[in-house]
Amino acid sequence: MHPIRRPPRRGFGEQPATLAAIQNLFARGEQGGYWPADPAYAYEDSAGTIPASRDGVVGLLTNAVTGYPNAIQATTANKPYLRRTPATGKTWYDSNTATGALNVTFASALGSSCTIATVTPEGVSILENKTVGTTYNICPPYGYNSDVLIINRALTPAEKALVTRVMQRDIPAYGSLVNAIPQMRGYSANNEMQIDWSTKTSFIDYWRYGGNYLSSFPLINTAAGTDFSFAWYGCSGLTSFPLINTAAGTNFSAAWYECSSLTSFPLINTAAGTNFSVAWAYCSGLTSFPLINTAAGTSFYGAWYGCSGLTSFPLINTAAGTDFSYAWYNCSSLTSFPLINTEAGTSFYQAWNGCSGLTSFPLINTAAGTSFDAAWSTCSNLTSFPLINTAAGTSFYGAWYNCSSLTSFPANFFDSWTGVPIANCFSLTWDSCIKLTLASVQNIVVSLVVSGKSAPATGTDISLDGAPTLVAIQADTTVMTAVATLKSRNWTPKYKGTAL
Amino acid sequence: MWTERLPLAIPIALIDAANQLGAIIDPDTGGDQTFSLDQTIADYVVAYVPFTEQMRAVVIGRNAAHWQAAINQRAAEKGMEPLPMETIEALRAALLCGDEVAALSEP
Repeated sequence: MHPIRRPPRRGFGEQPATLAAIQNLFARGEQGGYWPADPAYAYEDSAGTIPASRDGVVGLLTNAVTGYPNAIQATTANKPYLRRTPATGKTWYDSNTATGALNVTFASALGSSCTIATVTPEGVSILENKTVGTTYNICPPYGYNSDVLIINRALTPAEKALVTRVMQRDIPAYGSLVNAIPQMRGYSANNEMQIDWSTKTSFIDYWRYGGNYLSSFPLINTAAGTDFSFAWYGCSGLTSFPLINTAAGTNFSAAWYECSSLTSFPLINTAAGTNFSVAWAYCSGLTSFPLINTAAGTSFYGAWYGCSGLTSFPLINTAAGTDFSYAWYNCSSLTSFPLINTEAGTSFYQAWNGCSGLTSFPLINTAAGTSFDAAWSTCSNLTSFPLINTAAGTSFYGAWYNCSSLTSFPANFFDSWTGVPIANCFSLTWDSCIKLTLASVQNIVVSLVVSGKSAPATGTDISLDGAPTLVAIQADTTVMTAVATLKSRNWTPKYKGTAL
Repeated sequence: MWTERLPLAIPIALIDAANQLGAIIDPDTGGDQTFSLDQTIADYVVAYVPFTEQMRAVVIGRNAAHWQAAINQRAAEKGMEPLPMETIEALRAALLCGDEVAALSEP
């Protein structure tokens, strides 16, 4: 699995946590994939250059977890249409001709122990011990073609439950004689002002599903609310949000996920909040964020994922935060980042991936961090990087991948490294950092030597790149002396893809 | 904007030429599998093809000059060899569209 992931064209259809969970099914190199019924993954042409549109044809559907193979149809006559169900707005692929197909071509046959999960009008179907050859049509003629997941092994009961939970969101609901959606938004009727909310503690999913009918939200009494997870999930029509009472709220997971029309957010009381995972993910209309109280927050997983309109970020209290993975992924308009407290953070997996507007990065405390995979990948405007403490790190896979303006990388970065390196821990780490100076390359390899660490049993690459030519690197005594030592410790240093 | 599928039918004997035409006018890289022997009615191969509105108008208009111009233009855009004029004309003359295809199934 390639850990450096770019979001699909129009944003994740899934919450990052969900997609990551599906990705984990393939973490041991399993073959197969997951092709969601989500326009974010669909293209009109088989080359994947033209986004598919409603009632238009689909020539390519991206594999959302393993990156390949995609599902492809290059002959227009055989392409399905991208449809949406009228009542609940579910995306599906209408292969309404006998030759209809979106074909997946695997590198080799997947064998006879495959699990195939699909969405049917009546639920999620999980077929076991199925044989899958080198090609598979995920969009057969004349059916309700929605999400498809294929994996070349059996799933555990827990994994089946996960797959069911994820895929059941695309089960279509049959429309009734009277379309009740405008009157019934999600689980909550359109009667907020007529009922007493004051004793309600859980608002899970309340205005989710059908939330796009919600253009404004009243100031109801939510003082007793503790769980606001998924409450306004997908309310993409909301342009403003009131200052509700959330003082008792502990769980804000996905609460405002994809409220993409919000341009500002009120200074609500989140002092008791511990779980902020994907809370404001894809709130792409926000340009600023208030200084809310997040002192009790432990999970900031994907909290501001895809908030691509944010131009600044406040110095919030994140002292208790342990999980910062994906937290600011693709916040591409941020030009600076505050010196927040991340001393308890253990995972920074892809935390700032795609923050392409950042020109500098603060000296945050990352001493407890173990995963830095793709943490600063594609921060393409960073020119230097501070000497942060990553001593406990076990993997830096793609950590500075495609930091294409980075010239300066500090000395002594790995001198005190105590973490246990895992396979591929330095694969793609500095790949496409095409402006790194010779001194920076020296700093990296010399510091890795000082660390005294030997390579893991597999995945021993140290991927380097920079401004100097390969010849110049090979002629540099400092680099090559360090490289010799690293090779004696079973590392495989590479420069611009060539083993040194 | 894509139209709903337009039924097209060509005599089985012309399937190779029809698929050459399909490869030219298909906006994607395929098109050479537009017609298949797996899908026939009587002595015709049938395909149910989504079109852009402009191309649909050209196809169903079956105007000889418009066909020649549109097909040659598409071939040039895709860097493909244009079909001989007589092949285009044979296909145009033999093509059934829409309700004409449905009529093939009638007793």
